[in-house]
Amino acid sequence: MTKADLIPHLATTLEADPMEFSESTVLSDLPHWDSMRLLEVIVLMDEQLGLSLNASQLSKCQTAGQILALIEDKLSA
Amino acid sequence: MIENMQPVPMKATIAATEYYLPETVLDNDRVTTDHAEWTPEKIYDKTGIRERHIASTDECSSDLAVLACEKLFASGKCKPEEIDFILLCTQSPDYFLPTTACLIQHRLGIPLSAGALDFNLGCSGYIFGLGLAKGLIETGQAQRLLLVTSETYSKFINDGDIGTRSLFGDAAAATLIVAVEETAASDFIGPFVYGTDGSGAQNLIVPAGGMRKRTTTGELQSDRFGNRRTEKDLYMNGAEIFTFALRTVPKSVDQLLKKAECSLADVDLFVFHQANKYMLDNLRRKLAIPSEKFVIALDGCGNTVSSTIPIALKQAEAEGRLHANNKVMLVGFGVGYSWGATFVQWQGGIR
Repeated sequence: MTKADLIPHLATTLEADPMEFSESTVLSDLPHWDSMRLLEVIVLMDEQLGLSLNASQLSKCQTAGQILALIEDKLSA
Repeated sequence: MIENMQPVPMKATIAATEYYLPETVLDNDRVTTDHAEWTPEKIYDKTGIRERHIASTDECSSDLAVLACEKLFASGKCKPEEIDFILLCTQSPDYFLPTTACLIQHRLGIPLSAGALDFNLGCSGYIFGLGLAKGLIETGQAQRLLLVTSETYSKFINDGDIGTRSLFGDAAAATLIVAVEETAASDFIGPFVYGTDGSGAQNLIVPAGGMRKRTTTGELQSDRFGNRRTEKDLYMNGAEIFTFALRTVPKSVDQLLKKAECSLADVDLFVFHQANKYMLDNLRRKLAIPSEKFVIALDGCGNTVSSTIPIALKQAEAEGRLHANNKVMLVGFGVGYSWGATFVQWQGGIR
């Protein structure tokens, strides 16, 4: 899965408007942003890609792009 | 041996369980007051919790424990004078010292000849308690033992922290564990799988109030999700605890199945620590456990820490989902990190 494929998945998980969602989206600006969303990103990656994301690194992400970079790191590791 | 008679080997079994919830109810309307981004429906949808029970200001762990034990005595399953050991699991004791188990021995009129001790564990506590109880009974040190779990986590929770306030509820549970003569059948409790990883200590912690940091300024701090708490309050890193559980619980289940030489299909009922519905749903899916065999029992009480498993057992029995001789898998996991898993062959209702 490439970054371009991941973006719509991430948008759905974060309940973001797919038209306005991009790497530069600031997470705390999303209308449905809360602590549960992090867990949903973790589940998405676990179920779709079999990746276990590092929770403390994920907690530090400010933008969608930073989450995608974490996932890419995991995929290439 | 002084006499030539061999003692009859004894096995430990759960004979009965009762629980007590404090009267004050905290519903989702009140939890979401001052948190515009959350609605009561959304809390219920994510956590599976409709309401929690909260101990009153002057109500402590020993008070909840006494009420749970009195329910057990009132059920006719045992009398205080028959109890010869109390194991009490709490992380919110009445005092640093004395031991809460000693307080309840006196208040319940349990004989002076009884042993009593507290042990400090959270959501894994019930499993460890069953392990300790089995050890005491099967080595002949106890015959009729009370395993009591009692928490007032609400006293550690800041009203401004919706993350913890929406999940945890206060409760106590009392489980009677008795010695029965060994038959050809397998153990009633066990085998056990245990695990500990203190590297996760900082992710579920009350940082101040103990000896490491007895006093604080009481300054309120906000996190990135707008939750507010002081250092005397419970802190939970939800994402870390969630990934810990997803990583650890399926492994423990596999280890237990191997140790017990059985498969997932041989298990009649799964009773996991009732952390929250979201976590339980994810664990169930990951383990491919059919929902009719998987107990979710936190709607009316929330995450009651070490009491979730006995409460879930009691509710499953009341709903007709748990029957005599059922093979039940119990898994506890959480603060520490600490986790444990075991099987019980359900004998609730024996005298």
